[in-house]
Amino acid sequence: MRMTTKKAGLVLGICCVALFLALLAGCGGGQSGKTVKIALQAPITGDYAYEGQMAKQSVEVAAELINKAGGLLGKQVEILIVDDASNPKDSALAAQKAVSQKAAAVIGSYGSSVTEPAADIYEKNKIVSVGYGCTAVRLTMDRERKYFFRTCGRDDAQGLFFGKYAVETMGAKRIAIMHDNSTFAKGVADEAMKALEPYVAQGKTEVVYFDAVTPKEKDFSAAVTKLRETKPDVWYFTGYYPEAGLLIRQARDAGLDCPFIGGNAAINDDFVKIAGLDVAAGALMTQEPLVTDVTTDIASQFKALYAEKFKELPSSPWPVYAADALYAIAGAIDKAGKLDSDAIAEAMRGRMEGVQGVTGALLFTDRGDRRDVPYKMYKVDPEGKLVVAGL
Amino acid sequence: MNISSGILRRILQAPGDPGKGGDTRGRRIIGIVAAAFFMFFPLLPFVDNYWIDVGFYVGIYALLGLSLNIVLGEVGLFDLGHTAFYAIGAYVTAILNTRFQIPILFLLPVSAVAAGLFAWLVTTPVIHLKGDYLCIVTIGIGEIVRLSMINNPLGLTGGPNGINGIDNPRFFVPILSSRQFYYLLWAIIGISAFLLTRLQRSRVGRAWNYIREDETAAKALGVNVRHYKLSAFVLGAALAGVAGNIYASKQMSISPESFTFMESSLLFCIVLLGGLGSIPGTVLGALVVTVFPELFRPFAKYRLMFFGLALLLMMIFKPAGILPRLRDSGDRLRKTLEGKKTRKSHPESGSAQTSAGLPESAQANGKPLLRLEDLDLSFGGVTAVSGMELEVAKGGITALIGPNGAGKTTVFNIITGIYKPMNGRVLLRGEDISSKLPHQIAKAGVARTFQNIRIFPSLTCLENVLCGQHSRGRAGLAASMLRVPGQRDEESRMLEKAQACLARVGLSDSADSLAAALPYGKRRYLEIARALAAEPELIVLDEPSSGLNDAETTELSVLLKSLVEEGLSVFLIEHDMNLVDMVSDHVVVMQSGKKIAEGPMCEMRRNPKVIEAYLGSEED
Repeated sequence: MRMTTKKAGLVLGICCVALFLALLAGCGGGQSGKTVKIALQAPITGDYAYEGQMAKQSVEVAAELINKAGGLLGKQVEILIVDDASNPKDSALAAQKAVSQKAAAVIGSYGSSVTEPAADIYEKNKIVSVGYGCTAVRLTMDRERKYFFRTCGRDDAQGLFFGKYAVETMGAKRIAIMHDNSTFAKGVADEAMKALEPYVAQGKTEVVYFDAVTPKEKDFSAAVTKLRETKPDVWYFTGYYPEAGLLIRQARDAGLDCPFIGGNAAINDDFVKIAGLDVAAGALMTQEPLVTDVTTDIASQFKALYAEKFKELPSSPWPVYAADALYAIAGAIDKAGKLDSDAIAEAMRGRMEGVQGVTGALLFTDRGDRRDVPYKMYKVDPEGKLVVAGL
Repeated sequence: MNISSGILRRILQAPGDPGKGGDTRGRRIIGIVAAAFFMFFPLLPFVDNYWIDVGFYVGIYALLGLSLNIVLGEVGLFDLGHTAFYAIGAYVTAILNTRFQIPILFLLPVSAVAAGLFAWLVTTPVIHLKGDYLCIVTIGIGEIVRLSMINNPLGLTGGPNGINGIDNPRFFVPILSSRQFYYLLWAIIGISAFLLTRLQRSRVGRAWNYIREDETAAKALGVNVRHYKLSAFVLGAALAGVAGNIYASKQMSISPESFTFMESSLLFCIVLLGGLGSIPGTVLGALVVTVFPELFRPFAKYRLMFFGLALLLMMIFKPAGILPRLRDSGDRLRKTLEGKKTRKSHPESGSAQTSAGLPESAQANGKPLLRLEDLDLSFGGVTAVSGMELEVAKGGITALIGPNGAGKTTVFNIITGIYKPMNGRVLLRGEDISSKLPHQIAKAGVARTFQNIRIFPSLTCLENVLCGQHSRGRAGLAASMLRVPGQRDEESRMLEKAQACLARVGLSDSADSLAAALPYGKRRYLEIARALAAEPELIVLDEPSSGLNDAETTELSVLLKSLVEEGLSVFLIEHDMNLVDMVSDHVVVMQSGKKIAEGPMCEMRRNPKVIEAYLGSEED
């Protein structure tokens, strides 16, 4: 046909131009220059945009504090923001963008299934990434990632806190643990069980009840009766708020009045509504502390600067972990003395002593989880608000 | 009332041009430049892995857009749950790969089949639903699939966290880098677009378009509507399954968050933005929908707003889309068929079939061609037809007359299978056809026109007439995509026949213009040509002269008579007594669902019953 020669010519021409341009292509800039580039991957847009915005502000505040104190390896810290819009596809793109911009390390991200594809990409490109709002156990336990860490606790970490608190602070002798068989709730319950084992061995306490209820049910009287018969001193429910609200209501009606402790999914405003304020008041919850309730040195500097810049403090615990991720990265780079990913990862695993963040010491396990994640016991006050429990 | 059909009408009736020569050439140049761009894009110097990945996701959306385009664009079915099929493909790949280590590329066809099968299973029971109702069901399907993934049935889907650790594909070498993924995906898109374009220019693709334009007319002219709707869903789902496979292996992990309703509506936007049924349009739509938000990320807070505004303006000012589908001219269709080797089909072969039937019908002249026995039909207590009996003789013109509301059109609808009679039989050549579906009746040799003209407005006249030929062809999906020799011969035979039928009614010059552009009178002729193209034995015309002027009516009578001379039998409803007088051999008069008289027209004029019921006395 007539078109063919023209077509071939056109294609050939474009081909030549493209190859020529490809030859001209230099290798990108790299970590030259006067700053250390650290990327923050966060949901700047999308359903969790408020979390992303607060994370951005927190990281900026932490970066300013670090820079004021002399920066990193004698250079200033520069934060690059990449947006993952809180969905897995954008997360992969955001991660690729952070890689393309030659970030030395990455903070991110919020949401476990959003973090996962990004973590894979960072792993492939050998860049350290530190998650701040991703608590699914499997992120670190399903398979080994050399460059992935997180400053937030694993889903089940609060179980550990509960065990310690129940025995050492409350002096409970008979402990009841209830979950709903969901991955999350069962994980927390198992971890609580594990934390109690040494105490049980020492004869300090006893687990009198460990069982599951069925979610979405309305009548828990069978479970409540069985629970009452075990005469617990404290009752830990690791499931979600709809069941928690009904359970505490029905248990109190049945005359069971031992302290109720919920996991961090069990208690919120709706819990109070379902249970009724009379019953809900006094219920306890194991939770990541809000920045307002943290009292470290860095926390007070952080709070002061944050309040100065943005008027109000972060209303959720997660953005603060993003700031801590920056502190952890900065600390590891400082210990490593260079921007090499392997050296940073190695420092993160073994040489973090003395590195402090907003929420306290930043130490990591070999799998990349944070050691001794700080939790606090919160309590529903007589107005239905959550306050730190002062025992 | 029905939102989806309202939107569809607005889009299809947007002013558009038929595919005239210059325009298609412009399109072809755009196509070549675009193909070259996509081919060399990852090699450009300023393009880093991030932009290659953006290109990859443009590809994912392009492939998904193409898959939805089959359902939404070609057939006009509003599918707002298309992500379900994408999810099935992704999850099938993820589960089989992580559990049994089956290679990803081997799972590519498996995912396609699984998604197609799933689509067949879930749409079979609901495919008869119209417009909005089907749309709501598809939303349901999308949500059910997503929620099932979250609920982790049998521990297969990993719940809200999904599945991780999905392998990379291997094509001789492992496909790992962004660039390799990009080329893998775009190669698949290239192949898909090529095959889909072939489908568009085939009997199958046209059948889809007929259903979108006018389901009832398509049915009456021999298109098995149910079959083609299902096949569109299955093919669309299979293609979405392919996209799911590649997406899963690229992401390495999947979770239900990737398969939300938002995603489905984004696909919907891609197809509407690009142009309904337009393959280049869909790819462009995917480009716009993916790249714009990336560019506007610095203005993160406002980007969704800009995006929504752009879509809104688009729907107001250019409802047909950015690159609306251009219809192919007859020459173009012929040229694509020529390919390398042309086996010139015999000009006679088309008409051979009809003329072959003639001598036989001439011999059997004693028996009536069509016979209605004791037909009853009522709609919720209102009797439309009761105890209706009549015969249509072979090789003549029979007219059905009667006052408005007498049930004449209902009789036609029973004959052509649109209504099922509650009692009685319809015998065509002595065989009961009353339980057959409209497209089977069309195939059996009955073609019709409609009282309120039902042409396919946004198709060319030639394509309109080709609809008649649909039931005379056999080529299915595979044959049309692979363009096997038998399909080529069949297509060129169909084209010739359609061309001849257009010539028959004097519309040869308008072959390549859109049917919507025809003046009213000519549309009637187009409908007749379409019916003729079905190679019927009996042609059933519902008020063919309405809206025609005297000269045109005379022309029509000449045409009808010449049809009978060629061996066709004609059965018509008519209010123009002059026309009935001029052409009919036999007249049946109906009133209130019953036959009140029959005989030659001259007798009917004197029949007191007929005069009282319909004609009125001349003294008045």
